[in-house]
Amino acid sequence: MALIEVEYLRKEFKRQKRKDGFWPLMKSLVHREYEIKTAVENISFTIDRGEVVGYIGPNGAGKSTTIKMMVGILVPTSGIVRVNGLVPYENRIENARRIGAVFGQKSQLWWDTPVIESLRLTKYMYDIPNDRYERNMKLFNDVLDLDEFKKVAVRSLSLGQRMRADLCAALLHDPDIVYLDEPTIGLDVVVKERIRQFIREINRERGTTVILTTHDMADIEKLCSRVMVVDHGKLMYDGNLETLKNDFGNMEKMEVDTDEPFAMSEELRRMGVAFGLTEENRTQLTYDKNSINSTVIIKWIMERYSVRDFIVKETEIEQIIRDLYIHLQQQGTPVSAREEALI
Amino acid sequence: MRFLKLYARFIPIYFKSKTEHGFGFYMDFVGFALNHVVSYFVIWALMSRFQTINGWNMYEVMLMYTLNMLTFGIAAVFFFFQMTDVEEDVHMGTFDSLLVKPINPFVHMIIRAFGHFFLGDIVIAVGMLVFCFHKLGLSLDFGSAIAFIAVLLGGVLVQAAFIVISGSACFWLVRSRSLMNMVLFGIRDLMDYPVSIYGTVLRGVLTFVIPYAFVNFYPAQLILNRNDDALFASWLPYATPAVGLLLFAIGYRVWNAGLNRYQGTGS
Ligand SMILES: Nc1ncnc2c1ncn2[C@@H]1O[C@H](COP(=O)(O)OP(=O)(O)OP(=O)(O)O)[C@@H](O)[C@H]1O
Ligand SMILES: [Mg+2]
Repeated sequence: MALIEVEYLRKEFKRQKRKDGFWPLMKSLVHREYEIKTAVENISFTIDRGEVVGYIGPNGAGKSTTIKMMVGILVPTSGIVRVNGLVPYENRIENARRIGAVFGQKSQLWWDTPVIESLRLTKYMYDIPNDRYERNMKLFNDVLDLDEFKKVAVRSLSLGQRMRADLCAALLHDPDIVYLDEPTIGLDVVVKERIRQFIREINRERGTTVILTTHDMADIEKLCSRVMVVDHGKLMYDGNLETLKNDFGNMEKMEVDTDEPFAMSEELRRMGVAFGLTEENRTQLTYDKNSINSTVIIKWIMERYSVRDFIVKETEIEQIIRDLYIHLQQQGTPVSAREEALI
Repeated sequence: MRFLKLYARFIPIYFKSKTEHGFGFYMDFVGFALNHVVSYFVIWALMSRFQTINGWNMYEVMLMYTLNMLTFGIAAVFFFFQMTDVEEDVHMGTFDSLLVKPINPFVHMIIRAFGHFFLGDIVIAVGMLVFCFHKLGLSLDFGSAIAFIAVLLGGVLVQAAFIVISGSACFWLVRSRSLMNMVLFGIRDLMDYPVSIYGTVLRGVLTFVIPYAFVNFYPAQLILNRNDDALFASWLPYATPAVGLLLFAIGYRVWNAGLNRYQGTGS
C-alpha cells in the first residue's frame, strides 16, 4: 500500500465578492454573494515510502493548498487523502505524530518563545524520549547551527534562522513524512545548500519521505527523484526528472566562436536553427535536439567559417520549467488566467 | 494528565516572556480593578437611595455583581485572551500551526497562554464575596459549601462557553471581535441587576436562549435561599451545573465545527 494516496482531490475556496459603490455594498450586506475559486481540481497520485517528491508549479497553482490537505489543516471539498491509512483532517492528532511540516511563509513554533524553549516544548508535545531528543539535537545542531540564536525569541529571528529552527522542530520526533512548503525561500546560498544536504541525509539515513514545493529548480535537481507539476489546480505532469528533461528540455543551445562575424543564414533557419544573442564573433544558436543533431550544425558551420571554439549547452532545468509553464499557460484556461491578473 | 503536564511546561515560559515587558506586566494585574471600584460605587449610590430593587438589598445586589465578575474572571483566565489570539491567528492564517500538532487544538489554545490580567479581578471578587457574606450573615456548612462550589463552577462554564462560542465566530465572520465584545460585555452587563426586574421575554431569553442568568441570578437565589421570586420553576437554581456543562459542550461543538471550516489564507 502506498504511504500517501490522493484521489480526485478537490478544494474550493469561497471568497466573498467585493462590491464597489453604495447600493451594491448595501445589497451585499443582506445577500452575500460568493465566488468560488477552485484551487485544487481532481488531483490523484500516490507516494511511496522513501520518495523525495518535488511539487512545483507557477504562483497560485495550488501547491500549498494540496499540502495543507495532506497535512490535515484544510478539509477537502471532495476527494480522498489518506496518509498512512488515515484521513488527516479526521485524525489530526494521530497524523501529526507521524509527520513534520515546514511552511516557509509561517513558523510552526511559538512566536514569543525562545528557540530552545520552543524545541523543548516540541519534545514534550511529541513525547520524545530524552535520549532521542539529545541525539537528534546534537545532530541537527551540527548541520543547522542553532547555537548562535537558540536563546532568541522566534519572532526576532531572521528568515534563514527561523527556517533552520522550524526544520529542526519538524524533524525532532523522527517523522515518517516531512512536508516542506518552500523550505528554501529567501535563504542565502550557503544555508540553502546546507539545508538541501540535511534533507538528503534525513531521507537517506532514516528513509523519511519528503514532499517539497519550491520555486528554486536547484532544489528539485539536487533533491528530487520525482517531480509533479501543477497548474491551475490540475496535475499536469508526474514523473521523474529525467523524463521531464527529455520531454521539455529538447531545446539545446550552442555557442560558436568564429574568426569572421557570423551571418544569419536562411538555410540554417530552414534546418530548424534559431539565432540567439550575437556579440562580436560569438553566436548563440538554439535548436530542437530531437529534430537536428549538433554535429550536423557544427559541420555546416565549419564548412563555411573557421571555428575557434564552440560549446553545446543542455537546457537548464530553470529554462525547461519556464518553457513548461509557458506551454501550460497557452494550453490552459486563458479565462482563469485573466481572472488571476485582475485580482 | 498529559494535559496538565504540558500546561506546567507552557505556563512558566509564558510568564517569562511576559515579565520581560517589565512594569506593564504588573500594571496588568490592576486591570479592570478601577472599573469594578466604580461599579461597586454606583451600586452603593443607587441602593442607598432605593434600599431595595425588586426585593434585593444592597449587599444582595453586590453579591450578584460579584458572582458575575468572579465567574467571568475565572473563565477569562483560561479562555479570553486565548480566544482573541485565535481570532488573530485565523485572520492572519497562522492558525495552521495549531492543526499540525499532536494535541487537541482546543487544549493547545488554552495552554499556550494565561489570562494573568484577570487575576486582579478574581482577588477583588473573592474579597467582595467574603465582605457580602459577612454583611448578609451567611455562613457555609459542608453541604452548602459543596453546593456553592457546584453552582459557581456551573457559572464559570456558562461564561467560558460564551467566550468560546462568540470567539469561534471568527471561523465564519471576518470581523468577529466586535460580536465577541458585544456578547461578552454588552449582554453580560444586563446581569448586574436581578433578572426578575426585567419583563417575561427578557427573563426567558436570559434563562433559556442565552442563559446568562445562570452565572449569577440563579446561583444567588440558591445561596441566599430566596424562594419568593423564583422564575419559571423553583428548581432552576439547582440546574446551574448541568446548564454549565451542557452549554460548554455546545461551545466545544461549535469550536470543532469552526475548525473544519477554517480556510486559512493564501500562502
Ligand atoms: N484561504 C484562501 N482563501 C481564498 N482563496 C485561497 C485561499 N488559499 C489559497 N487560495 C487561492 O487558491 C489558489 C491556490 O493557492 P495556493 O496557495 O495553493 O498556491 P501555490 O501553488 O502554493 O502558490 P505559490 O507558489 O504562490 O505559493 C490561489 O489562486 C489562491 O488565491
Ligand atoms: Mg504556496
